[in-house]
Amino acid sequence: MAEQKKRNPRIESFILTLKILFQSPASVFGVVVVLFYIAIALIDQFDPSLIGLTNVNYLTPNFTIPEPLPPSPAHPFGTVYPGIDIYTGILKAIRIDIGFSVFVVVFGSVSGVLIGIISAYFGGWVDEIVMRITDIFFSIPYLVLAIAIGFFMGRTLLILSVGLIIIWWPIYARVVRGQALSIKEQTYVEAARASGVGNTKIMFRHILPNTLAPIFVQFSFDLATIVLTLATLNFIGFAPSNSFLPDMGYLSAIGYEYAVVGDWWTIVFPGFGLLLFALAMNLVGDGLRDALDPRLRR
Amino acid sequence: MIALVENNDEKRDPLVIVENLKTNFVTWKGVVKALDGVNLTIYKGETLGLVGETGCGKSVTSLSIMGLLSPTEGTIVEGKITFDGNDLTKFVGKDVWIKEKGKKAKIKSRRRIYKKAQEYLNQFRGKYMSMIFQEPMTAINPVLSIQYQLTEPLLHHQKKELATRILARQKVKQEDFMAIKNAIMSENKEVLKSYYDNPIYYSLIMQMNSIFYRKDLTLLQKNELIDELAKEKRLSSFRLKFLEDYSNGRNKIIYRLPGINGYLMRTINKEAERRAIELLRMVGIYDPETIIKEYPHELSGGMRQRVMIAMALSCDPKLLIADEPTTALDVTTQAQILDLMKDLKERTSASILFITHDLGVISDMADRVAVMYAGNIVEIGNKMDIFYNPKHPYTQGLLRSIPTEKTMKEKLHVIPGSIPNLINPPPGCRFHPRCEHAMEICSKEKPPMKEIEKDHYVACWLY
Amino acid sequence: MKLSTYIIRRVLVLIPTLIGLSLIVFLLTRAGGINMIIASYINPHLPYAVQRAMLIKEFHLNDPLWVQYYYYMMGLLQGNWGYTRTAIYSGPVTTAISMFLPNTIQLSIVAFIIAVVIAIPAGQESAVRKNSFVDQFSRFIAFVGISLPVFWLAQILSEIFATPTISPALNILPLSGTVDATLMAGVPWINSIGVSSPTHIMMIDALLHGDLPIFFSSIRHVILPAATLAFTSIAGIMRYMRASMVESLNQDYVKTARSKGLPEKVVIKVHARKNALIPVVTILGLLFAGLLGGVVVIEDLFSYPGMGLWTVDAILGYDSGGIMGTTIVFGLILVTANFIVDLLYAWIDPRIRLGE
Repeated sequence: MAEQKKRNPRIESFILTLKILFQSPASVFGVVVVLFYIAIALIDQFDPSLIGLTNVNYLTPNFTIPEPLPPSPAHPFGTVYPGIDIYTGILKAIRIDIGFSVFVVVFGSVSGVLIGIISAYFGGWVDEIVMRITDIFFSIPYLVLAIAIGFFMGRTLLILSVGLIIIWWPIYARVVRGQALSIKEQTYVEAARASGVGNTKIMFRHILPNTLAPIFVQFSFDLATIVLTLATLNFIGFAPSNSFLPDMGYLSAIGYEYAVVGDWWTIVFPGFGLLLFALAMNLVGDGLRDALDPRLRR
Repeated sequence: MIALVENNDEKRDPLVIVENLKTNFVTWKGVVKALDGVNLTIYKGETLGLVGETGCGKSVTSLSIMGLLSPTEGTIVEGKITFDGNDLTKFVGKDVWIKEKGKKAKIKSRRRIYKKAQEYLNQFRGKYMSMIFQEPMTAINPVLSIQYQLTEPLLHHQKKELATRILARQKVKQEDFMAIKNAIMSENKEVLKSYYDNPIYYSLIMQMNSIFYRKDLTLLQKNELIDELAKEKRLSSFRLKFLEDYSNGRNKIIYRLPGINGYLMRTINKEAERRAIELLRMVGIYDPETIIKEYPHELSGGMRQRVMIAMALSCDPKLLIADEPTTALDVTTQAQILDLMKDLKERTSASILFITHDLGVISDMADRVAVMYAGNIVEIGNKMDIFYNPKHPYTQGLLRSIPTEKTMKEKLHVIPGSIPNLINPPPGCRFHPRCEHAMEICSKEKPPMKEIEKDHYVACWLY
Repeated sequence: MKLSTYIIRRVLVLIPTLIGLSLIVFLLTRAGGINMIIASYINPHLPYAVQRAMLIKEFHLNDPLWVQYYYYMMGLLQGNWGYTRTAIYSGPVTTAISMFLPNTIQLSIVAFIIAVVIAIPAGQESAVRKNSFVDQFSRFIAFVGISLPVFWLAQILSEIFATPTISPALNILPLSGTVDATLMAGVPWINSIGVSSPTHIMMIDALLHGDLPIFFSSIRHVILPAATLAFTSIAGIMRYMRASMVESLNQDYVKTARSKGLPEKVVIKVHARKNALIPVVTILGLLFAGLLGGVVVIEDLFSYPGMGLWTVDAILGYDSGGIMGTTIVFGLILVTANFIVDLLYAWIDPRIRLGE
């Protein structure tokens, strides 16, 4: 038999995942679009002048043009009351929306995964309590709970993000717990314990890596969901109309009254900005799920 | 089903002829050439044992014969399978095929033709050829009752026979009934044979036999039960007329009308249930009326396997493929199931293809044995010849590695090396890298099958 | 475990969940500060300070939290859920709930039925014809469905079906309310906001009163919001059904079924699908949660007088009573839905139904 080079199995596995992922044109499209959005967000953050933006924290109004203008060379996506250029508005909004989403999902997933693994590993009453708590969070539709949190605790982005983190960690805790429970029963965990490996090490070196696959998938889907949730919250009124918050939901909210009388661009473009990102992220997530599915990796 | 077959037949009739069967699978790492020209013949009424290591292609062979290969994973690429004169490989290459582009390969299928191929095979599957799988836990549908799963093939393939069974009990005249009964109880085969042509009498004989061959009854009880067959409540003449027409294949329009159809079919359904209970008893389940209402998860592994055997034998197939039926069971249950199968073997005229890796089981069950290695049949012959006069180095190695009293004091004999990678199999004879008698030609050309004794074939350059 | 044990367990789990629900809402209201809580009770014509002192005393707002919680729970259990002052309605929260909840239920159930009826067969066909055009197309639609902002889709569908912008020919559906305004005029069993009696579900009440024009009009009014709402759920259900069906088709028992020579249709319908539906039922509860969230936006956009519209008005009007009431009710709906799903699951899976 030919001699096999000793390669780190984790790296090999990672490369195989990428290979499978890039086989599907849909996933490739998703990845490209997502990278594009991330690039814009980063540019917004560090050097907005690169794409001609000045103030990234506010949409710049121009009260001399109160009525929305249709798309034109000066305003590629048109304008909306009060004179906000939709094109630049969207570019600015990308930073806020994606930044918000990443913040929420990262913290939500990390805390959820930690709690989930501990809960699954130690079992007993710890597990019971965690399960009941997650049950409680699952008993309220997340949008409704987000509304309640935002309403009572403040309508700032920070509070909303923390609120969403609190709403979101139970999902990760459940996902990880399910995986960890089945892994825990496997013999190699028993073997590790029998040879005296400490609890922390078992949890993080043995169990955690094998639970990561569905977590990555959930992560991708959630990035899309949170962006849409934030936009929806702003749309129904959490961003007051004088805040000029760069956010695609907010843009749509202002534009809505004009859209119903025929100024279609005021909603179509911001909505499309959301749709494109969410679609791309969902495609990536789905591609990841197929790529990580052990059965398809034979 | 319970056949009165003479086992002294010299003239052997082939039931299944497999010629040069090649089956490939497509995986990420490449094309797996699982079967590389398998040649086999199964004769009517015999049990052929198929032995080999895990991964040598035994299961793939059986799946290929039944046409159960998943079109997204693998397909037959070449070869011919003849079943009782029918070409099962009519659609090979047309419904599913593998396209190779340099290093990459893709498996493609044409839905319409694949559907036609499956419809064609469905004529045989279940009715003339059936299969028992290795894992009874997963092979039976967990959400359907045992009754449903047992009556399913019956209602599908044997509605006419079911109708005939009812007629047999209803319409046979007293004199004939007593004559047959006496013949059965005195095991007078001559008399019984004279009744064979008439399907109604034949069915009655079968029903009586299934009572007569029960192991849990005394002769007196059997006598009573057989008498009960005739004491069934008389059905209405309309129903009888329906059953007569139906058993002859005439399904008149009036029978198909919505309300009437339901009413008439109920009789057939009940008969299917009755037959299912009979089948369960035949496979050694002593409380079939209770079991039949239950679900698979309520049964033990051994019982599930019995149910699978019952399902497979329900329509009296000519070929039964048993794919490692006992591997997943514990040793005691294994012994029970094997006993059951030996018993059924005697009572049926079906051919059995018994697949296993356990040589002990083969020596018990099989008439002829075929040894398989890495996608090829390397030796095939009568059980005695194979066990006492193995010719192929692989067979010899296999037999040598069985621990016996003599070898207890020595190190266990092991065939050096391991099974080859089937994506890039070794050229020529696939066994040559591990063979102690390997010659130059072995690495260049594949040896053909040669008959070295009567009915004993080997594929090796040594001969 | 036996079936009865399973059910009892599920009921027992309900209790901490309900307590937790009430606790969360309670804590949130207290987090907003005293002023927010008493806002809807203040009569603007009377001196503020005096009222504030009185209200603090009445609601024990200066007492320790657990005392407050006790009175809060007592209030809830006795039917005193506070007051709401919103554009759409001002008055006791319980009355508001009785008016708006049935409409929301009507909307959610219609949407749910539409979603399930479309998604499950679509998911099944997608799996059976894996990678075919039908499959790719449905998956594409599914993806778009879960990526769409709900308000966007509502806007587009309204543009197509409710306004003459795209094509006057398609302008067949109305844009607001539960029933055509002209038909409502003078009908004694519909009140001024558009809520009907006795069941408050317009479709049923119309049938009860034998008023067919209103019945059909109410169907026309509910179909667009329900379809919009359903669209996002369809995607989720279809994907899950497809995955579940693919998994089911790969199982050994499907091979066994095929080896029995059964026609493919039977194999798919009876053997594969039955098993595939079981995991799908488990996520139906989760999906219903998303549906309820969408209700808020949909009712706002289509001016449909239900819990969602009330919620939005409460947000804009800083009405804490309303938010509190709607949050609890949405929570109760979801808990009930989840419980029903659990029962359904136990019923259709014989492994649970018969114990062992």
